[in-house]
Amino acid sequence: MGTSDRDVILRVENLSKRYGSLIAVDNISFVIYRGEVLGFLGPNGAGKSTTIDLITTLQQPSKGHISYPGLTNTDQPHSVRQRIGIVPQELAIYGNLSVRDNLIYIGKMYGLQGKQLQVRINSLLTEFGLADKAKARARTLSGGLKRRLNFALADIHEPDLIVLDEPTVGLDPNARLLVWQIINGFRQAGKTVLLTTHYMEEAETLCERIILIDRGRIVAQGTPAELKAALSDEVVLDYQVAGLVSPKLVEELKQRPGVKQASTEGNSLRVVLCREEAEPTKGWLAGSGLAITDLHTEDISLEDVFVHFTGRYLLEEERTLSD
Amino acid sequence: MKALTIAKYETLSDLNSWVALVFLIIFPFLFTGVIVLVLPKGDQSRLIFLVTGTMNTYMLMYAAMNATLTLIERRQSGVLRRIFILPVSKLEFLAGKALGILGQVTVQVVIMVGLLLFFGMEVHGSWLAFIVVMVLLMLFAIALGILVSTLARSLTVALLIMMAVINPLILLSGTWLPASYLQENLGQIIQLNPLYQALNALSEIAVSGAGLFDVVIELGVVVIYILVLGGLAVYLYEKRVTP
Repeated sequence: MGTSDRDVILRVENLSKRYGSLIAVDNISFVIYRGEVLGFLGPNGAGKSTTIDLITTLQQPSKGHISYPGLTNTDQPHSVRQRIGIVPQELAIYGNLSVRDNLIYIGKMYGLQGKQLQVRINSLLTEFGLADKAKARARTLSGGLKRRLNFALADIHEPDLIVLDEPTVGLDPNARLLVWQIINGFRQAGKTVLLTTHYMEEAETLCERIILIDRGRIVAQGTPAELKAALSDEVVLDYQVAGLVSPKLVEELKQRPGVKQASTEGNSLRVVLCREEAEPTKGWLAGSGLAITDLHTEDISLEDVFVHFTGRYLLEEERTLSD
Repeated sequence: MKALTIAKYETLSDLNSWVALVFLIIFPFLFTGVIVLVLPKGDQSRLIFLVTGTMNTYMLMYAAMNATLTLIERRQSGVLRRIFILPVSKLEFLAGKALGILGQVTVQVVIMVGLLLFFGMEVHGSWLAFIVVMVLLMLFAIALGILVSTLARSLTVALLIMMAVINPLILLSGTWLPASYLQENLGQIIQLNPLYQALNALSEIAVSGAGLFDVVIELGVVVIYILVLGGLAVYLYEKRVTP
């Protein structure tokens, strides 16, 4: 089924948010289709969280419009919020309340009551593997169980859209895997998810469509395959070398025909270039005196796509620190 | 109705530990016992003023600190972000929060006043007036606490601000340092202190047998503070506080 045939549950048109002279979100437009996991991929400060605040009515846009098809009363924040569940970056749970009381409290805020609320809570406790811990205080749970509760609270009222605000920032690999499993569970259940992240592999693994955002602007959007297709005539050479790569060599490399990007980190050198220039460039590097220990030829990644459109890396701050 | 649910679960969350329960219930018992044992016998009116002053100072600190610290803790843990995206207005949430704290302080008032009555303190005036003054004073404390939570980003800063505000209020409340001992200028300024006005009203009611209308000026000062501080706190939550 083509995207145009699917139900739109949220439409953003020419949306901008300005704080004085700072433009946090700059004239962005996109739609979210029912049942998809949409990735909002961009570095820190790209405008992802501001966009979430605007979608969830926490802030008002300076310009533009957000519509929720099927919802006539979009001027009423409460009507909009009733249709959205959010998983904040932090573990936003009441540590001193039991797991069940956490769910009751938030459920009641969404207007659930009585048997309907109890049935929903029991269903969530089972779905998220929390049934044995229903009476336990949330602060006594393991990190993984707290994370599950954090997600369950966002799903208590069966919202049309679940917004995940950088849910894996700062997590160890096991915890990240758990979050990925939960998101996959949402996808299999046909729920609609907006996932903001600055992890390229996360977006590529979990999302059907991805919006690349940088400095408040959408620079590209499409499926991972569509985004990579924009650079289909390009290829990546990933070198491992003995010792460090001199900055002078990297600069010379950038001047060569067909080379789009060249960067070095530790003992590796990464070159993005036109496919037809790959062999001549390999020959040039082999003759440059570089002590090559290994070479892989890779397809374009989303990171390369992002650099292609913005001229900078998704994890630029971390890269700068490691340099 | 949602404000009541918020009050219930916010209070459950605040009190779900032994330390919190000790502060809520045991501490007022100990506190009242100490007051009765330590304060000098003799002039009944001065004694009542000291007793009500000490009791209300404790509750003022409890209510204001509770409001500030729990709200900042909610913000730091990310809970406030979740709350603000619920279909509940910020005013409704803050009202529920205030109601919950008022409930906790009411438990303490009942314990402390009950014990003081047991030990022989008498309220000669209107009980209704006595309760109204105490509720208003607690509302002032809660409004102050919520306002400070909008100004401070961390618990440390909140504590420092609170100390800077509450200490002068207590010092100039007339409880420990009678207004007549102060310099003339301070004697005028003290009239602007809501704690001083509330304690004066309580003393009038308990000692002189005053009714609600007899202390309307004192109550007016406290109500003005509640409206100004509460209004400012709600405004700042609406406009400025990003969780």
